[in-house]
Amino acid sequence: MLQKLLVANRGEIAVRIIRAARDLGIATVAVHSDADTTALHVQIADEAVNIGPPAARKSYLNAEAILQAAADTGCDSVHPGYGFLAENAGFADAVAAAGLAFVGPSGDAIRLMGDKVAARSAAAAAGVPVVPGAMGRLHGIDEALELLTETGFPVMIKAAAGGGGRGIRIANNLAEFTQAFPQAETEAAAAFGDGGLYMEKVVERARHIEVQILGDGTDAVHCFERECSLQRRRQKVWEEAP
Amino acid sequence: MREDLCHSAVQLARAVGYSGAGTVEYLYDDVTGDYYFIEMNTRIQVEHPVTEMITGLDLVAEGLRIAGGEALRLRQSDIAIRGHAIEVRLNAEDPARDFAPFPGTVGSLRLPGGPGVRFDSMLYPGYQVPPFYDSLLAKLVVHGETRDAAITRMARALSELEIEGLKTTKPLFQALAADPDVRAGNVHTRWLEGWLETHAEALATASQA
Repeated sequence: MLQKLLVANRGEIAVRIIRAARDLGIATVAVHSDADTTALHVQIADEAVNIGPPAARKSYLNAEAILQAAADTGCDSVHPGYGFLAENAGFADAVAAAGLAFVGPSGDAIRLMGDKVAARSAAAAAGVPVVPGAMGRLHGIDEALELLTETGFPVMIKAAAGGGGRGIRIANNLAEFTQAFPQAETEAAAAFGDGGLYMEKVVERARHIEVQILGDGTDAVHCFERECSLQRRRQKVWEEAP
Repeated sequence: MREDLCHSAVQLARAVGYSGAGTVEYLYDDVTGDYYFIEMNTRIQVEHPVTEMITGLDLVAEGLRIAGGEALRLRQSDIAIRGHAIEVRLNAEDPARDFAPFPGTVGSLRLPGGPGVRFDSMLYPGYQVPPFYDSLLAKLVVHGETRDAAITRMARALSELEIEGLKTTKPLFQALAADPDVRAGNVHTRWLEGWLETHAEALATASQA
């Protein structure tokens, strides 16, 4: 069992983690910025360490300051919460390299799932259905047309080098597709210096369903699903289980 | 479908030697019943309490035990669902002004309680919300024997909640809890944005109240 945990976060999730740790008899260290000296997580932790100025990159994203605080207070573990450094593989590696337990998966698992193309391949390899479409970049419109016989319409044509919704075109039929594909190529080349494209079937009127899992590095179980379709600007606002 | 979907998430977690709490996200096609992997989030998620409410587990505590070197304590057959849970994210944002951030100082605070209600928050009276971070203040989570009961309980809990001094997303959730499409579960990932356009005025009025 862990003895002393540094909670590398703020807000309600830092409070939540401190509560769970205390229920297990684990001592807690809060970290905070100059702007959070009166925050609830600072008040309820056993100890608190100021790790820097209000700007997150100088405090809650400052891995060096956080690891120093863990060393100074004699912690044996770090919980990243969500956001900030939670899905930063380098941070997970640095925590482990400092001889501390990282509460979460290995840096390698974080790295794999953080690479969207690699994650899609890992899912497919594990037998998890992925959105029908290209597994990598397309080599010209002929390959795309062949793939279309499998995916059907509508499809999204995406710039391989794009992101954040840029470089996406939707085609509802073959005529639209043959017109959009070369346009998307030209546009991607101009916008990203890379005309590479891939495509995915558009899943219309989809629900967002997610499955909670718990793993110990070897075995894993699920804790059923959640439905989180009510979203604003891709941010969930109302979530249900099951 | 549920069994296949959940099992596929376990398969992926095993394949990558996953340790701790994680979430596998899917798009689910209501028309065909097909589901597709979107991504895996390698962390505890904001909405983890709804799972805790229906399973009785403490996911954060399980994560701490695993990080401490323990093997999974739970077999799949140990985990069962009871009832239905809903969480809403109370953000320091003004729904009447396109959800503009609204940092400020909390005045008095009246919190909901009673059976099936959980309030995970960073708030206390007099707390000054700093403008530098995410606007999430609190999560109101309710549990009911059925989805219907949970929605009714959410409306009840929201009516008890008063956060003086800040504009929050509470009026949005009161409107959603009263909406027939939400009650019927007739939603998809693009539903709310359309709804917000047609309900902007009502929301603005509710937010001024």
